[in-house]
Amino acid sequence: MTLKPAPDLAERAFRRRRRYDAALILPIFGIIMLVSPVFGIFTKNTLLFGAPLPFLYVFSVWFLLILLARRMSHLLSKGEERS
Amino acid sequence: MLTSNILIAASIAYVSLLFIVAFWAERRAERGQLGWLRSPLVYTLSISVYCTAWTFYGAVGSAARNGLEFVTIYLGPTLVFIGWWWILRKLLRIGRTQRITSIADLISSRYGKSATLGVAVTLLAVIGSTPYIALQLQSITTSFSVFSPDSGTGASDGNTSALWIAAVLALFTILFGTRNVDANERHHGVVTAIALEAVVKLFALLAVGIFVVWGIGNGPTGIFAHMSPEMLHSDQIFSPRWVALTFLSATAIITLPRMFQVTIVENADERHLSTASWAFPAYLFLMSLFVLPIAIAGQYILPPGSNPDLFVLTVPLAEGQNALALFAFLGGFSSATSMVIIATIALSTMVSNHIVMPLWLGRSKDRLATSGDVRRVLLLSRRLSIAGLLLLGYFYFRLTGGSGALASIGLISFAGVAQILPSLLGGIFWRGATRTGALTGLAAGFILWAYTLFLPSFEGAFILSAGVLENGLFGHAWLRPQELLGLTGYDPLVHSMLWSLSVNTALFIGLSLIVTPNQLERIQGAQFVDVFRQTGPGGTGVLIRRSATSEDLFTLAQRILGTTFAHRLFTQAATEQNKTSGLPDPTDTFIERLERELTGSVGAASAHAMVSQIAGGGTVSVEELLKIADETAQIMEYSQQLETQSRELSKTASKLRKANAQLTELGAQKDAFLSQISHELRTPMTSIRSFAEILRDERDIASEQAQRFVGIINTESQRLTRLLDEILDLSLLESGRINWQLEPVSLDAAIAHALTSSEGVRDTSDIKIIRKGDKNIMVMADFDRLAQVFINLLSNAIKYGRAENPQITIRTQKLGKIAMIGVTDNGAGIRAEDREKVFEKFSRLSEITLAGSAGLGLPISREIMRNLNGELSLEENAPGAVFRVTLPLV
Repeated sequence: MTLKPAPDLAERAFRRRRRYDAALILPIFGIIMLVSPVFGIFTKNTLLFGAPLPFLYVFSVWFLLILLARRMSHLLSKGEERS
Repeated sequence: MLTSNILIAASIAYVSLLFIVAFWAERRAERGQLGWLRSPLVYTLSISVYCTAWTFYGAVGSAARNGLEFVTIYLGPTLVFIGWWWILRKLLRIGRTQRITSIADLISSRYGKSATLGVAVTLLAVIGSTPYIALQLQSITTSFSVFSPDSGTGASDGNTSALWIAAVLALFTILFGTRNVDANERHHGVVTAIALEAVVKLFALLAVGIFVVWGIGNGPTGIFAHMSPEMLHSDQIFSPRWVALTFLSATAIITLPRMFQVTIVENADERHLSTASWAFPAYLFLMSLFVLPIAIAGQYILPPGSNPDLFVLTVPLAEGQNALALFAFLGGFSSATSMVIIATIALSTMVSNHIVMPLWLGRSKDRLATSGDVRRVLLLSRRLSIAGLLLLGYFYFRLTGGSGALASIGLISFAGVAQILPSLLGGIFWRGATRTGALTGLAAGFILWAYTLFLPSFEGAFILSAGVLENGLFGHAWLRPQELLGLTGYDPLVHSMLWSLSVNTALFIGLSLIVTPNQLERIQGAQFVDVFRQTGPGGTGVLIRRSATSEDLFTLAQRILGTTFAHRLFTQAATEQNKTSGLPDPTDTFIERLERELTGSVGAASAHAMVSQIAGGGTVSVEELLKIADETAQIMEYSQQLETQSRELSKTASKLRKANAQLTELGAQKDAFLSQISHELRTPMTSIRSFAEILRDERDIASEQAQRFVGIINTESQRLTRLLDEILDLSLLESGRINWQLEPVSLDAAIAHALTSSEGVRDTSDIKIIRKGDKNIMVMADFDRLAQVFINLLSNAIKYGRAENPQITIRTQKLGKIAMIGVTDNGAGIRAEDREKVFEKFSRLSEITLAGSAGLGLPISREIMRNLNGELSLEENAPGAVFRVTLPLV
């Protein structure tokens, strides 16, 4: 088994930059999913698994956002410590 | 059945618990054993002060009336927190570096430490928050009344309990919220108690929700089966109101004074925000997960017409779950009390720093430097503000209690403080934002908000009459508060937001573009916008002209920061200035630091005013401005560095080019030298060889003839040897490997020696030597070498100074500290253009003058003179050649 060589400075800077970008994109993704006409697609008066679709949609997107934010927060704080 | 007494007992027990927890946390903090009290978890839980009684009870009510709309109140904050990298992180960093004490302080500090803006934001916050505090009081009394619906005493009972609650809350807040004037020092007791309350309200709501879903509805499917199809208003969910509400709640989480207090001011570690970025949305997620099921259950179980705002309590009660209902009651109680406590702390800081302190400062201008304990004034003003704010909330509740006006106050309050948003975002992202723009935008936004939303919420009972609401101000229909300029078809909230925020933003941006900001504003703008670019703690604040005495500053610091802390601060500063005793010098850095410390206690504007008052002026000099590491300066500095570097580079390059040219020339000279040497060596060699060949081949050669040939061969080989000696001598001289023994030498002796040595040459011609000048001159030189120079000069003069009656004049004289020797012949002289060439190796002047010469004598002589610290030069013809030698005297 070979150890992966530590990425060089430029590569690390690039990855850090990308993490920052991702952190900036996340709320925009949230806005598109929840506060834009995209949300309108899911506001149908139907039941899915016995629960109303809008309810399911909002809460599952919300949950997804929390998971992504958690992942982001770990990545970002890791990056801060390294740099 | 739960009686009022049990409720009161439970409330008192719960409040006592809060006191104990807060007290315990303060004790631990004092002993420095903070441990998990300073953890991201406690931080996240304290942020949940966002969930007030309005959301605890009201969310279910909203769900019952408007379906999913309640979610927007939580989605906005979720979006802001998962986007913490954008705004919150920057606010936090600014808050920490600038020691910001409140949202009013932030705005005031950003716009040139403007006291006016501080007052404006404070007033806006107080006006926006008082109804909200009243709402919390109301929710507690209403929830009380749920448990004793038949007591009959009703309203007065409610009023009394509200007063009691207000009093207890005031006591708690004063006890734990104003222990120290430094608002930057975290209120560990309060925060811990708030975190506990956050846990209670979350679990209370979860407990009710779980009971509803699994106790009443047999699981999620069961509970949704009871939902009436219209309840969600599915088709109308996504509407302008949905967007507006999300935007509003997102704004509120940033601009609400209490949210600013817990998120920015009470933050102990920037990394905690990273955790809160997902943990707080998760908290909100859990808080809202069961809201819809509870609303469904309430509509299904309770008789029509029941107040949906109280479903959280009435559903468990109707099912006979008294313990659960009590828990839910405590949850609501927690939501209300935590909001009131934090809001009053935040507002009292603002009121005391931005209204009381400036007034006090203005009144006691002369006394500031001499008497009075500012700390006491500050603490007192804060305590009084807390009591005053709660009293204000209480009166507001008394005046409006029972009218439906309070129900919507949450959103109205949100919309009020949202007016801060343009100045806030502009302040931290746009350097060009100015005080005038912020102030005007804020004022216009506030007026429009009050006119289109706040005042109409009283439904004609306060300032705006019902007639005005119906027909517009002075009967002008286009001034109708809720249909301004005929803008109809929107929900009143959306309508008001559209007007207030757009006018606010437009004025803010427009005036910022027109008005020129003053220097302090520009500095602060750079500080705020480029907060991540600032390096280290130095060079941040405002630099003030030095006219302060350290004693005055110490007196001031002592009275605001306390003797111990002030002493520590000044001693530390003195040490940093390498002073072993006494007060530090009032340098710019020190004054700046002191101001920052004071800012943590009294806010930027007041601290600035106080320090400026003592330090004098407040103006910033050009040099000081330049020091500020703002972007332009940095870029300019950088480009200057680049310029310097490139200048240095080009200088080096030109040096290198010059060196290269010299090297090339030297190389060429060497080649020339070599070919010259070959030539010079070849001449005697040729004649030696020719005569040797003649002697070998011609058998019958006369004896005297042969003798003459051998004589020539001998002379030529001598010449060859001399030439080689000279070459060796020159190379030795040039390499600098000779150790020169400089000693006092008699000039006359050296000349005499030279004359003797050249006698052999002179004999062949009839040359007259004339000796002139001073004969007793002692010089510092090497005798043999000096003599060599004279021999050279003499033999040159003898060889080339050909005239009818050749004569050579040697003149010696003292000139200051040097001796000067002239050797002059009466020959043809040397042409002006050849004068420097004679010192070059093997220079070939006209063939006549220098024919037969190795041409090394003069270069060698010049080299020797250089090493003797003297000089050999050729003067203008007089009329023959004049060589001049100079030497230092002894």
